[in-house]
Amino acid sequence: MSVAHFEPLPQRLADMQGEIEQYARGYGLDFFTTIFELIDADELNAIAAYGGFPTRYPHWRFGMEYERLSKGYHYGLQKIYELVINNDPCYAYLMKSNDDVDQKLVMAHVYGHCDFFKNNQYFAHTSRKMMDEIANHGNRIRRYMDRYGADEVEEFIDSCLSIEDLIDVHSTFIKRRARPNRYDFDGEKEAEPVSAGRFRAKEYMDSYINPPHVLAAQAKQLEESRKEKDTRFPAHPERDVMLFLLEHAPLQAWQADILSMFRDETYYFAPQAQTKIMNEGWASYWHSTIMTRQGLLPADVVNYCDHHAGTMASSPTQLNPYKLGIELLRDIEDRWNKGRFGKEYEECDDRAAKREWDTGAGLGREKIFEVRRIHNDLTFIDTFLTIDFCRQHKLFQFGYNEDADTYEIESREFPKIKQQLLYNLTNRGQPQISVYEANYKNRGELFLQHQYDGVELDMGRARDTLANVYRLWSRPVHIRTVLSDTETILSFDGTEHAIEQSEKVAS
Amino acid sequence: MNDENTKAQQTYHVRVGHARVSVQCQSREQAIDLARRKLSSEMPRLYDLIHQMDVQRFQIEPAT
Repeated sequence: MSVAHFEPLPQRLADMQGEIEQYARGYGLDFFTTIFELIDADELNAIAAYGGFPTRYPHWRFGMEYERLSKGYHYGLQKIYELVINNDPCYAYLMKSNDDVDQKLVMAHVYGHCDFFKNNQYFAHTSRKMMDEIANHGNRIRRYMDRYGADEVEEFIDSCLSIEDLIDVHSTFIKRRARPNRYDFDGEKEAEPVSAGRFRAKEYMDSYINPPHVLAAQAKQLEESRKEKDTRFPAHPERDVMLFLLEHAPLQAWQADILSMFRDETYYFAPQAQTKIMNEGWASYWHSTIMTRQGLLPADVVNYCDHHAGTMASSPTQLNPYKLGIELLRDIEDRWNKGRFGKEYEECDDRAAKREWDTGAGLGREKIFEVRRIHNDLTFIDTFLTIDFCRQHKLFQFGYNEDADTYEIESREFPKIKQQLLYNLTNRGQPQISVYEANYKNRGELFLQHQYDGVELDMGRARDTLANVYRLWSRPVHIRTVLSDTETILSFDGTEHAIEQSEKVAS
Repeated sequence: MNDENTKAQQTYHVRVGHARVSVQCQSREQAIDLARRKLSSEMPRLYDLIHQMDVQRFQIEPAT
């Protein structure tokens, strides 16, 4: 796996970049300085295997990913057209073997991504110097490998990587817990006695409206729940499992350093998973607009159409984020241009009038720029996927039929399709797992909880992950999941796995 | 009712480049407005271009 030696762009491509950049800025796109590097397919596959960063820590998974990409390319199964890094300056890669029309298309597409990185709120917290930071992570990990041995460090990295999805993506916007203040001694005061809420009542009705035995029972329940909170650690379930382990697992300094690096990298990459449909849709919208209006020469039209259509192709079994994103953005633009939004339009029940509805509002372009700024995939689909769009693009929900041993269309009903899409996008399609208790059974065991939000726990992966979490926590670990009123607790005590199932759902 | 409203409707053929639409209205100015709306409805992806286009780009001929 070779990593590229970068050279300045040839003059022909540098001129092309200047031209496309000018068009992009003319449409109001706003991006960091973008540096294009020209590399061959092998180098592009190597960089793609590293997640876009040419300098990273050594690990076998990158080699494995490179083999997959490389074989896919050489067998003609797949080809990476573009690769762009959210950084200031943005770095993007062009493949040497591409035709000029493809280079233009990629440049226009990349400027769309760069604008999205800079302006979408979900990227606001990401480090814009990640190219340097990730290279720095690589150096630190190489030093640890020299000092503690490559095998030991690699084994630890394997454990960290198996929990890299267990973060709280919203924690960058929501303050879930106050930082403990070392000078705040209020916590040491005696807790106030608990009293149950009383309803307002006149004196002669009081014993009827606030029966003493009910009040006493409520007070007892509140007291018990407060005691449970006081004794349980953490007091509230912690979604950022990586952070919890970083703060509380018995890790050596080098281990904590590696875990914190991986956590930073996970938070850096998370918005890309949260905005895949929007980001690709936005970039495709702009490459399509720039190329069809200004970028194309007459001789390029057929090649451009062929490659654009290939990117937008829909598969019956897989959602194409490029296609869904671009079509939804175009639909929004059209609706806002024609004034097809708001109370009056929504409440109109005359189908013919709705079909012809055009107030000449002309707000489409402004609206899609607003959408690009404030939405992620989940809110984007939730807000803008309409029944008309669903019908027009023939969306359907599919599932696995065990009898026929095949995937087939389950439903064409709009609510089910939308719900399925939203499930797939909640928490980036990953199961929602939090640390429920770190002193389970008063034995310092870690108890994780899976909350069902449309994504079930894969038992095979859960077992492997438990073993990896055990390596970090050094005490037995458990995970509870509830599906169809059956509670399942998987456990790993360092030597063997155990599974416990019960019909009764614990509160 | 003022004079504008009592004017008779007329059919105009409006041509912009290769695109051509027919509209019914009372004046050349109205014909351009209606043509913009009709063209942008037919070609929604060019909405911004059609609405920014200079009036000189529209060739208007009253139908005979």
